[in-house]
Amino acid sequence: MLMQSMNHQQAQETMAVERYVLQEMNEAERSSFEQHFLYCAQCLEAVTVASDFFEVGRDLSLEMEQQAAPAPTRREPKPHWSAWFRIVPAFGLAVFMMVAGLAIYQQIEMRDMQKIASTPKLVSASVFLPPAARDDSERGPENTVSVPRDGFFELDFDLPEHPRFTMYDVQIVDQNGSAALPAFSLPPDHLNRSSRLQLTVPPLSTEGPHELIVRGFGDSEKEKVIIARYRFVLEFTN
Amino acid sequence: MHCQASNTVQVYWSPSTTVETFDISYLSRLKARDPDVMEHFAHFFNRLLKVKLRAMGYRDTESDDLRNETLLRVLVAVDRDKIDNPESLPGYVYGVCEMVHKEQLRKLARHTHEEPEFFSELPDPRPSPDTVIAQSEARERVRCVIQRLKERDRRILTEVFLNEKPKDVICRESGITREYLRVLVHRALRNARDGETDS
Repeated sequence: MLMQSMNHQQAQETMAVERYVLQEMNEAERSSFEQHFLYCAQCLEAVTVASDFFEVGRDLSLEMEQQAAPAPTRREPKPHWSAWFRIVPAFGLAVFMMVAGLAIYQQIEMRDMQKIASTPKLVSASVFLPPAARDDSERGPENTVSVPRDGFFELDFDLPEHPRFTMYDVQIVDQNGSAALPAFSLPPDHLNRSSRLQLTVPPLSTEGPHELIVRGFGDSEKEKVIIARYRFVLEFTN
Repeated sequence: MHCQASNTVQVYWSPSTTVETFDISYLSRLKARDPDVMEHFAHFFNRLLKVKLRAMGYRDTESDDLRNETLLRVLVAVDRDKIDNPESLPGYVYGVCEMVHKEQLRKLARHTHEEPEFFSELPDPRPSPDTVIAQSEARERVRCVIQRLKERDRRILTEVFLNEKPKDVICRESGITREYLRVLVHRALRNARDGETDS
């Protein structure tokens, strides 16, 4: 059945985000709003944040309820065949990965990614690294990233012209050249299409000068070419 | 290819860079099991499916199997070239999810008939360890927002979160309208967002 998609104005006027997470929509309306927000970055972001807010709020409310309650006389549930359903998620993921043909370690990595992707990350700072931060010969003003110790931050930068590579990776190193984050790969499609990159970086352990290094490489990982280095100074606010 | 510890994967693309990638090349690479695209597919749609399933009343801890089943079926559809328009992939994934959800309801109804205690035992209200770790930051923010509310609004929102009573009952007992409830949620979300910029 083809559902008429809600438009952005209708979504705003009808408080669609709030009604969606409050489960106030009937199936047709929910489908209509989904057809809209799946292709509207603004609504997608709003509905994702609202949904995460509710999920976390529910956990907190359960906790508060348990704390407020007198000493619970919790009854151990008797074992039942339906307990097997609790391991189905892990089994399902394993089947999914087998079909996908990925290696075991990637399953672990994926679990971590799912964990991260399921929670909105609060970005404590968003910093644009200008070309001056890139070139050693042209020392511009320092690009300081001020964040709490446990704060995520966003780095926004443009890559210079570079030959096409089949693979790319990024690493962040501290002033001693030690890896502040292990190297991670970037989608080549994106890099070959756009020179602009935005990365959300998790909390780093040390403050001071850091360098973000973007490398390209061909089929052999030995032939890595540094495409750009960006300097920034990490400063903790607490 | 890297196989490092979990902090390897803590750098991820911001949502704005992930929405625009559904084209023929994406589907071809998905079919070829390109690791980057596979990774993106799993993360992006897993998150979208959580949003959808929560709006349908599922807790994250209860919807793992539905999400996996959905993603698996979509992959099979990709392998069989059943997706004509790559841009419609998100809508297609949601459609498959609806189907899986309805099948699940039918299955549960059958099991309920055969096993009356099924419903009382299946939902496990405990969050998984993964969820607990991943939500620690967001929890603090939500906690702050809730604490800043007036006593009555805090109580209302808590009842809404717990989802144990119909919303109409919550509104009636609190002497508010459904409209007020939406505005309350709207303000709480706005406060959470403003808190982000303050920090």
